[in-house]
Amino acid sequence: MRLEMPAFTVSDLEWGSETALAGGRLSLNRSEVDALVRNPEAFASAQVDIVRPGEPVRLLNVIDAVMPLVKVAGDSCAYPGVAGPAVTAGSGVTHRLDGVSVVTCGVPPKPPTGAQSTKPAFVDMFGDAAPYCDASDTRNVVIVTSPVPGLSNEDYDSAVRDAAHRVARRLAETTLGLRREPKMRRAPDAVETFELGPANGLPRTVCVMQLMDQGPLIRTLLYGHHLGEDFVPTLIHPNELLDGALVNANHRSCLKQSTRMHARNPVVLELYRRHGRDAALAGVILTRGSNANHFLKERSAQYAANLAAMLGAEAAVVIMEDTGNSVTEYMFTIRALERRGIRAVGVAHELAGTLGDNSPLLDSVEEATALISSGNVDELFQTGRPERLLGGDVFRYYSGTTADPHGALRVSAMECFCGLARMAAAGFTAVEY
Amino acid sequence: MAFRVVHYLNQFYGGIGGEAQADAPFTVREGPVGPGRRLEQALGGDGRIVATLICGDNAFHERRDEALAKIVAAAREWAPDVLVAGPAFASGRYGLACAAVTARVGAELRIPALAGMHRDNPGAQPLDPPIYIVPTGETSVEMDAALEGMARLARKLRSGQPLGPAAVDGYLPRGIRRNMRDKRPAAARAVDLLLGRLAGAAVETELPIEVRDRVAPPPPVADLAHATIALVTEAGVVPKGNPDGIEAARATRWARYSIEGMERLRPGDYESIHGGYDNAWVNQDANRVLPVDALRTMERERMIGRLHPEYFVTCGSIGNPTEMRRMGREIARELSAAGVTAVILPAT
Repeated sequence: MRLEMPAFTVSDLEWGSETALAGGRLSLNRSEVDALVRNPEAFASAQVDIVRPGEPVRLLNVIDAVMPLVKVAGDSCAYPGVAGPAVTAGSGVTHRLDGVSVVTCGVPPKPPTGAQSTKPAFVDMFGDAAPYCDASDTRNVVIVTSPVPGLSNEDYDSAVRDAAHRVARRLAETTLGLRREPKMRRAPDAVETFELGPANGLPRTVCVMQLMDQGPLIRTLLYGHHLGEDFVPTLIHPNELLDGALVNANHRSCLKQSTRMHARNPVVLELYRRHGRDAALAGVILTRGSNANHFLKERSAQYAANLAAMLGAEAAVVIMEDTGNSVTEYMFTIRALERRGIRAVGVAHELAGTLGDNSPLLDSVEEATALISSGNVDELFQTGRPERLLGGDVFRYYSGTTADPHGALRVSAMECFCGLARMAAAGFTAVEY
Repeated sequence: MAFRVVHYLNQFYGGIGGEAQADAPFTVREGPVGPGRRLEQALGGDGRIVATLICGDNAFHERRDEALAKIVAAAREWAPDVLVAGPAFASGRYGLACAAVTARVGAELRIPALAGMHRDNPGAQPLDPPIYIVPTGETSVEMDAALEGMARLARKLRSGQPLGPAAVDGYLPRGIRRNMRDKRPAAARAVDLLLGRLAGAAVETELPIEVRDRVAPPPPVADLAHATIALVTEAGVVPKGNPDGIEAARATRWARYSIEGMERLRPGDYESIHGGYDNAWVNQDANRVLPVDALRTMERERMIGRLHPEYFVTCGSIGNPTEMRRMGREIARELSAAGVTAVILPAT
């Protein structure tokens, strides 16, 4: 499976007379974008804005951030199952717009409570919160929508996702033809080629990726369909992920990865970089957290370890979305791998309390002797004071309490859009004092 | 001007004698004694040892409170800027005394205080609140290095500058974790750690795991017919409106509510605030998780002696082990005091 991904870097994003990419400047025709977003059956209102890193803007109720991709050659499409048929992706040529995201904001019509409760999250494009927020470092087309009366949560969620993917695809299409044109306006800034070539003699390594999928509005889509409560760990080629086989449909927004993070998973990319050099990437194993009980958690862990063994893996990097009881099967997976003789390294977030003096892990196993810490997600920090708000007028903490969104606030990663995964990507760690 | 240091030593390092003199009573000497002289050199003129407090190890532990009171009083007379204790190396009784003196004098005189000892010394166990301990070798062969480290930390603490991480500023981790940003993302560090392990290198985890408490099941209740049974739960079942504001996740609070004279928890009067399980059924009828109704039947049928008139509740969602341990202890204290024989702990 060979995937070529030319990347076109967007260094400037603005409204213009036509939707086009020229010399790193992506201009958007407003009425064209508005038409792509418009969906009167689902949206009572829909507004599109442009925001840039460093601007004093706060985005509230952020639902997703999508990286614009378009399939140029080969079977399938980008974001298969969501933006096209569920045909196996991961080969051919996919164009990627780098440095720009399509960001959606909104509140489901009837936010669920209790175990199914959604958790809104924010993005500050500026100040000290930015490193904790996904999409704070890209130029963003922000789509803010509100549902029509009577719309179901699920229909709103789908409508928002469809709008995001329509716009993302249109943005990515601005790269089409650029390479072939005689007066080439812009060649790709980089061309990455993803192919698991020979890596004989190097340690066979898998990435075990535990995803969050707990029920309506707390979903991860694999080829367009949620994993489901009966999900059994399965195997996927890293190229499929790079083409967008995983799409976020999760409204517990601090604990998840956005669609753009799924498509550029840092561990998958790192193992790819090392492939043939000092490791051999043997595949990616997808698992699900939040299994209902001890029995199902152990069953999932055993299944994942067995897949790794069948791939001939001798090493695994184990990563997770979510927190809480999902830490248990995460630890069980590490234990099951180690007991099969597969060396496992985990990337774990800490819940050490605001002062850092609580037990950092909710659960652990003796076999988890090699963990990378992505930092204490409870540690508080001060945001800047935004001059402009998009996406809502209430700031909601993870705990449910509210605050004036115009303020400089004391927050933790638990309020930030994809805060936990973002801390790992941004190099956070916790050290002993 | 040099800052004033008071130094604590045991009878051996204080020059009184070995184990035979471990009963030596508390004494004070002006100026440095024994290792204090080299400690003063290591302070390089920044600090000066104004007094040395010496106590036999047995004398300290046999009358600990009295010894500590005398030590605090003596220290106060010398108006130190910093207290230094030891180094105790691997010596257990001496290490425990150094830790206690460091904690007490530091707290009462409100001055920086530190001890030196080997990391496996029983005195190096985490205290609440934590103290500063400079890790040393196991024996006095490592005396010079130990005193250098202690002098360095004393100077830093005295300077009032915020301390860096334990590994950077040379003290034992105190159970406090703070964030920093590494130049490399977690993914790159993870692959390095993994390949390091495969290559057989001695690799270090960034997150040492705790050894969890193993709770051994207690023996069965011998005489259930005369036992007082209490209900304790993490299911977040509270009177409607959550009057004590127990948190829906990461709880730090517990509460108790009377069930005296109730045949069952009346539907509509209770709700679950737990954010981690589907509580629709419990909100319909709280007896489903907190079986007051069933226990009343058992009470009538004399299967159990009686149901304790209050139930205890917190919320287990994303519960932190440290907080849960504390709340468990607090609730257990109440239960013991009330003469409860056994507890039913419905989980979710």
